[in-house]
Amino acid sequence: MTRLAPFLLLALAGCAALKGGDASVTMRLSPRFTAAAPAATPSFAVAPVQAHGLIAGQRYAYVDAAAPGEIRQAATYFWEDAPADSLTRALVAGLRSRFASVTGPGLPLAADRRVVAALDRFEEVSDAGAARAVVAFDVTQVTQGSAIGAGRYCASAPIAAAAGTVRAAAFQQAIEQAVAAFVQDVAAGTVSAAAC
Amino acid sequence: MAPDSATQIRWGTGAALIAVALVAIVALVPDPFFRQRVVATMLDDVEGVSPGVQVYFRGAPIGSVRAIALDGPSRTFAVTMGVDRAWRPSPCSFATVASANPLTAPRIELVALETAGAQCAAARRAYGCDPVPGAADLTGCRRPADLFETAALAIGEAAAVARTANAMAQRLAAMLQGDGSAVDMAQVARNATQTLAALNSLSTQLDRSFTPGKGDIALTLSHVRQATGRASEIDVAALNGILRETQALVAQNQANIAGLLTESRSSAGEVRGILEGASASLIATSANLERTSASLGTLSDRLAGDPTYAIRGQRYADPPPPGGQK
Repeated sequence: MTRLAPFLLLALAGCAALKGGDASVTMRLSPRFTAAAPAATPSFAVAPVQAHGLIAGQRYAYVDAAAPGEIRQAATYFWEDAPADSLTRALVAGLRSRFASVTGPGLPLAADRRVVAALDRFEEVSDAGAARAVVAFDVTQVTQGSAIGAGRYCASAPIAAAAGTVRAAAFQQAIEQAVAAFVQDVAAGTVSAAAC
Repeated sequence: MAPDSATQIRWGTGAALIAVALVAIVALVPDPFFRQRVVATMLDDVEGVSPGVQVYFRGAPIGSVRAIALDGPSRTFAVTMGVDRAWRPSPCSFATVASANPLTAPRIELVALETAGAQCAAARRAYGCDPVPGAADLTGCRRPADLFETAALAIGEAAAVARTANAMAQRLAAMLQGDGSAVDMAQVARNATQTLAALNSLSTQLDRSFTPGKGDIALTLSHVRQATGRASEIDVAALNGILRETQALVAQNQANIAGLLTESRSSAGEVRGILEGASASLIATSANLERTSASLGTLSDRLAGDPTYAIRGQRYADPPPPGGQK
């Protein structure tokens, strides 16, 4: 047995060296909104969404409900775009479904209203085997140098399985819900402040 | 009749000398069987490449460096390489110093772009090759600036642009107080917007360069080489100091623009719109610079505390599967 030990060790080291790394999963979000007859006014310019901390990066973040103060980062799951960029695109797409003139950060034209948003949460929350995608953002509309409404919007969607596609679909659903609620408020001239 | 012993010794010694000479030729002459041809190039920085280092073409070793000679007046190096006779350069070929990965020694890489000669300059530029001037068989590329050098340049440029934007904001403020016409004001405001857009773009680049944990192992490894290899030459803390000054200038710009927005409440719509756009741009710039500074600070702190951090990276774990499913 002692004679075999070096060979076993060599074989073990060889196996460890030859084993490939974990394949990373890059997830794409393509939020879609049902278009209604677009209103000609007001025009909107969406500013780049700000994000802080770990959600500013592309690595997938998750929180265990048992330790809500600890945010963790996944080893192999990544977003194709940073969540703040995805939210910026979703806000532009959402507003375009109801308003004719909406520009994003790529075309910063003067507009009647400027939409300034800050992404607050974009994470998976796991609780006793159940997981959900949570998205929350604060948004302010600015016109003529004054804030005309500051609201908070959030949504969550269940994550049924561990696959990247399922996780991305849940986040897409959550982002669509939250942005749709914001667009609805803009169209109705109201402001919501979700308690989440 | 057998030769006498003296003849035998003479013949034996002769055969031994010939054998030694043959071995010496094979061992010491770089290409004894004429399988290679000599190609020369000029490089501004050989980055540790020395005679004997292999020359690669599209991942395959095709030769080795034979000699490196410093050209005093031009402060460049004439590098002579022996490459496989079968290798033929394309009309757009060049030589560059590269590493397979940041932890391996640098080597010479021959690149042959399948581009017509007329488009070669543009194709070479797109590849990131800035040619070293000088007569040689093959064009050599200048050593590209690494992460910290690029960042140092970008931060310096951002500081200059922030100063220009500040001067423009002050001029706008003077104009709003009655020193100038509305037409001039719109022009200056438009110029300020362009300047701020440049600043914003620079700050976005900086933010992208320094955001840690993108999950790209190559990025982490390049941090290792660039942070540990160049840290003695480039003071990360000083870089961060310039960055913080730039941030202060941006904050001052923000305050100026906010003041202008208050003062110009009743002024023309175009100027107001431009100022609002500038204000938004500054908010984004400020956030980008803040993140860059934080990332640079974190990287610097972590490397100072544990130089192996960049190699080991951070340990991550995937979230548990929902409901115990796979």
